[in-house]
Amino acid sequence: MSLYTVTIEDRIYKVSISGDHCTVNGEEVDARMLPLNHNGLHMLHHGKQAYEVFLSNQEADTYQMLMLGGHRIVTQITSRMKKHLKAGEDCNAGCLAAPMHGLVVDVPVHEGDTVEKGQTLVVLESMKMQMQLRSPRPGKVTKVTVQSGDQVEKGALLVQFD
Amino acid sequence: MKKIKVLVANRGEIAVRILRACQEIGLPSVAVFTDIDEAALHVRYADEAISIGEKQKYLDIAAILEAARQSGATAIHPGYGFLAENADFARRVEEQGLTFIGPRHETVSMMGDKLAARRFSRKAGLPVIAGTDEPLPLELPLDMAKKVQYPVLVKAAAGGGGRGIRLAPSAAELPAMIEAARREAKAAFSDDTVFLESLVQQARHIEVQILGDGEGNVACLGERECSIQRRRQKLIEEAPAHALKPELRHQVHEAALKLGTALKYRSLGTVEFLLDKKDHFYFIEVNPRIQVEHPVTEMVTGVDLVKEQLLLALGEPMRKFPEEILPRGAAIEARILAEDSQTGFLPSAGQVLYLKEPGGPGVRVDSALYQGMSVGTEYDSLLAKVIVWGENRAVAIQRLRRALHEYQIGGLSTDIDFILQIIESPKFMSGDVTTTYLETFQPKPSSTEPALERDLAFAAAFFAHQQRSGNAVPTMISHASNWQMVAWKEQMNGN
Repeated sequence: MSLYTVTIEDRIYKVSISGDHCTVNGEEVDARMLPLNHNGLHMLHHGKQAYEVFLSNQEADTYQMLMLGGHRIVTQITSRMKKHLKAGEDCNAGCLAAPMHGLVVDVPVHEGDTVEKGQTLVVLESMKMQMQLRSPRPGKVTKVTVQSGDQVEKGALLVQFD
Repeated sequence: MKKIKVLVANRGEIAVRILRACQEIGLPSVAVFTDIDEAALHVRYADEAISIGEKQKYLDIAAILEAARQSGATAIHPGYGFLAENADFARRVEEQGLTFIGPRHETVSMMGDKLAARRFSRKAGLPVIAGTDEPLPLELPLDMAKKVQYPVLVKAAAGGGGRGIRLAPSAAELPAMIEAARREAKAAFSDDTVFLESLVQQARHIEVQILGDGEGNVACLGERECSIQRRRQKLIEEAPAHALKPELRHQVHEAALKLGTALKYRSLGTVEFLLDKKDHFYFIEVNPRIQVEHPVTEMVTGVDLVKEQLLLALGEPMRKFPEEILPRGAAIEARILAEDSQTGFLPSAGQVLYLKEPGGPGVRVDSALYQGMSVGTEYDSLLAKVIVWGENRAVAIQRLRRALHEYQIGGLSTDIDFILQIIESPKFMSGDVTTTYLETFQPKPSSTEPALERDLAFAAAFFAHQQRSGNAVPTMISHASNWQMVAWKEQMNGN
């Protein structure tokens, strides 16, 4: 899973991309991006609307974005990619990601639960080994994105908490 | 028809505009360019292009004349700005035996001296704003400051382009404002002569397009309204001026014709007026050249002004125009500037990374932009002009709004959002605006609907992700050439 912090003006969006699965601030994205050429021109499907979006990055971490068709913004976007997360590691202090490909065996927490530091959030089985993925700190579970029986890729978002 | 070879002593969109007219008539053309303009669009639009050196050379009379000599050009079109209103230039062009595509140098000279223009216009019977017809003496007479009606404008006699003008709200501020106007005039025009002129409050800017053959035949091609100005720079212009009632419109046209006839005006010119709340109008000045906003007149009259100018320079007899030209529909022009309205209109620079110009019914774009172009801050910030035509003003506003939404310039900040906010304001829509409207008009920060912005954040991350992971991005064109796509589409249509 890759995590990006996207800043538009003073608003911050946490974007996670994992294969075909993407979330923004923990919410599932149903938008789709279709590259139209190799020069940064894309079509963005947002609900029933389709927009043209032109992206380019002239400087490291700075993305200029231009929206076509109706709405128009010219915005600077910075983005950082986190390293693939290690087991139980705190990613942006708010989510738990799969340290490797595996099968979700158990999710002993539910959305809204208050958890202690070190409490098991997910049990993942990989290479016939079970591992307890624990909370790095106390917090409240805001989202559980997997359930028992799910196959997950390395880096997939499992649980979010605040 | 006599053949002339036209050197265009300008750059940017107006150079392209003039070169287009040359192409249509079939006149050979020459562009000039400075070092930083080596890759500018106008260089490619001409049959020949001559390098004239460093960046300020567009203002160098000798350099332009030398380029004409080198290229064998027989006529010079000055465009607007730079040397267009330089009487010395007009004179020296003609002394070389070349045709100056503009008025006689005597006309340029007299109209360049605002005081002489005031005196001449008053004699010709035009209403002139109350003020001094003589230069202000260096020592202001004591009783003068008391006699003046405030607020009053201090204006440079050699002024132009909104420079060298100061407003004195009361007698106390007058000496400081005179001083400031003198300083600015000295720096801009090397002439610190100033005079006083009454401020016409809540005025509209109305200007009349004239065309003359220099023999006394002068035609009026209707008027424009240019009240939307920022710091005395026009931003949005329209034709016709919807505030003019038919009788008043006739009077304004007559006044312009009177002046044009008295001057035996040659080529294109604009007679500028202010219109006050009580429908009194006053002469301000003559612009002896093509103007930035000329396309709105072209849209409602169907007359190609630059072409007419070139044909007259070729010695063609002046075309017959109707006595009272009837505008068809309404046209509006928006000036696209490299200025960032979010940061106090600072000039912006950068590379044009992406460019998509508006199109569709009733839309014209006069531009010198191209994708990949480097935009600097060395010259005027005008990048392009979007001009729209509609069957009436309301339709034209809708169309301009649509066209500006379509216009996409990536890589540098422009005033497009700001112009959209102006034309969407109820005051502009109702047409109830004066030249001070923008003084109180604050640009709002542009905003995007939150749900859409979230998806845009995703779009940016998606793009960064693709770039960094080095993934080959599957695109619409990656697996099939365009030809194959077309073939496939035709198959789908059952052909």
